[in-house]
Amino acid sequence: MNIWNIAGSLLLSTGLTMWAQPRNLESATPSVRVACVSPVTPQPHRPGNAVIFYDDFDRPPDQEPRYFEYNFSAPQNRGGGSASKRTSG
Amino acid sequence: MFALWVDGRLEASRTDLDWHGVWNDYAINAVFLENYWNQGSGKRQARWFDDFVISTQPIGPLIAANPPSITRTPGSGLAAWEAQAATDPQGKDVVWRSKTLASAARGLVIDAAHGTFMGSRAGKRQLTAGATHWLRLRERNASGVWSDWTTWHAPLRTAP
Repeated sequence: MNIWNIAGSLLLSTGLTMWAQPRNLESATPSVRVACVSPVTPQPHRPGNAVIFYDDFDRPPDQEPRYFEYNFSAPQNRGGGSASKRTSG
Repeated sequence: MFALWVDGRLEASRTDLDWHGVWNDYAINAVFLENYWNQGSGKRQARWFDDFVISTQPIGPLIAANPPSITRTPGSGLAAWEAQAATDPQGKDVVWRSKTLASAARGLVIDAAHGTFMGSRAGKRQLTAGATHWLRLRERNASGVWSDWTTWHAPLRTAP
């Protein structure tokens, strides 16, 4: 066995050893994030010169709706919306 | 211009779109809040909207009291967690690091009682007033292994 065969065998055995190492199955990806930060009031996006529309959704539900609700029962709306609402991806 | 910002980061943008051609009588005529999945969602899902703003200027970040109080998401299987605050979205200047909190703790206050000020705020007892900060978290599992840190997110601006 010449020097290159020995070197090759060492590399192969090293590779096999690395392959055989038990992998750390613990995920390094954290499962937590910041959910919220307590805000002070008023916030700068409350009605002001630049704000066209603002809703904090704190209005009582019995008040007149401010939004058009998508009607899923309408035949033309079944299956994912009209072409004007389609998104790519 | 079309730009999508999430948590203070520019995630996507197009600057070559012609939204209205020569039509100048109106500006925005509709804004849609909807969930759409081309082939239909693989399972029932929900999304909640709150503090919805249409503005001619960028909004945010949120103005927090100083010291700010933060709450984390529930997570899963964590035994402990930590938080950091930085003055930039890349974390070049980390200015505060929390003590290690038990899993039962869902929130904390960014102050000297709950952590240590460092970097440009070393020796201080609270964040710089009127400045924007980014946060990140990490967690330790039951085996004692720490996760990676989250990306820097949840930007907040301390009250002046």
